[in-house]
Amino acid sequence: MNAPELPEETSKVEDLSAWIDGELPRDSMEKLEHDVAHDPKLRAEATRLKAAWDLLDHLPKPVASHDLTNRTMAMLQICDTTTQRFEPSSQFASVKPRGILQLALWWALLAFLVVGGYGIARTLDTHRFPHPAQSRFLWLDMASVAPEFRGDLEFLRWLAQPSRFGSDMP
Amino acid sequence: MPAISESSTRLSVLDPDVALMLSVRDGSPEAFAQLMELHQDRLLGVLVNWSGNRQEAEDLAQEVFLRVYQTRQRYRAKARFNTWLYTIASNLLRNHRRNNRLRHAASLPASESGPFGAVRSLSQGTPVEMAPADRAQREEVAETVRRAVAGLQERQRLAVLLNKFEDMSYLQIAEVMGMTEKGVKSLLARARSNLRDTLGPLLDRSAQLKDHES
Repeated sequence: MNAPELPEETSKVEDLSAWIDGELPRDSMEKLEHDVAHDPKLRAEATRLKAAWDLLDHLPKPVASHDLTNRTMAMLQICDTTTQRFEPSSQFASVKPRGILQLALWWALLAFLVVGGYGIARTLDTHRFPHPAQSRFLWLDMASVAPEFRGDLEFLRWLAQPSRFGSDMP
Repeated sequence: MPAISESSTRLSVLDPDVALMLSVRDGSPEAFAQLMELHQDRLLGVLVNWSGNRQEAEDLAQEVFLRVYQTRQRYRAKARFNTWLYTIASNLLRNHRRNNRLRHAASLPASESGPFGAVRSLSQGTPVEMAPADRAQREEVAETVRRAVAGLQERQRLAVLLNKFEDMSYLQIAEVMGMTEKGVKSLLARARSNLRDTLGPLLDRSAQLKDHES
């Protein structure tokens, strides 16, 4: 047995469906009922749509567990207690676990950058100034250096050693 | 506000559940337990047929009721109580499906991956005294129907279940699903067409049986 062809206009199927559900306005209903009465194909289509819908009566109609209400009421008590307990600090309630994780990751990244940056700077420093004394800030009274030597950094550094004319303190 | 309280009173008379929910809003756990008892089976029916998994459906039902209670202060008696209940359920289902789509696909074996794969044991209500052949036939029809409903697009499925289990009007379904009435009309028509196509062989067979009997 071949299935009857779907009416060409989608609106016709929609009207048929709404008619079966009793949701069609009176004027449209009267027109559709007239069409159904005079069009065997449309009538067959309506019958088939309704028959398919009626088969849904075979769907399971489960009964809830006898303790669902009790379990839910118990949950509500727990929720109420929890809400009361945390009420004073409710501004933190909006921080979700995912937000906390993100915050922790940002802090970890920041710490890594600080420690890493310090490490890199220290490595470079050690590479440039193998002797610890060289990497320190050294102070030298420039007024006591003759002008022609003030542009020679290596000479100034040599002069600024505490054992010569410089000092650790300004 | 007198206008609101007047409409609330009118609705409470039309729908006794509205009066219960107003009591819940005013802090009555007894009224809430009563509401649960009244609605849990039908809600579970919708959820089982929507998700296809009894345990998942019961967890969802519990979650829906918890949310009803937790949002009780926001309840306004503007419509029937079940519109409020299923609006919460609909939102929960949308989020639940979005969050679990991948997990479900990965965790269920192929034979149980459909929404109704795990509810075979649910065909309760089959009379024990029914002949085995009749029972088997009934089981087969139920299974075919379940699979047909499972094959519907999620929104179509929800609209069908709300219409069938809760006897909701197009207007109510529209409110629950955040659509227009016209949209619901179109959605249900498409669902009907799909069901007619999927259940076609079953309809043909039962038509042949009727012809044969007559």
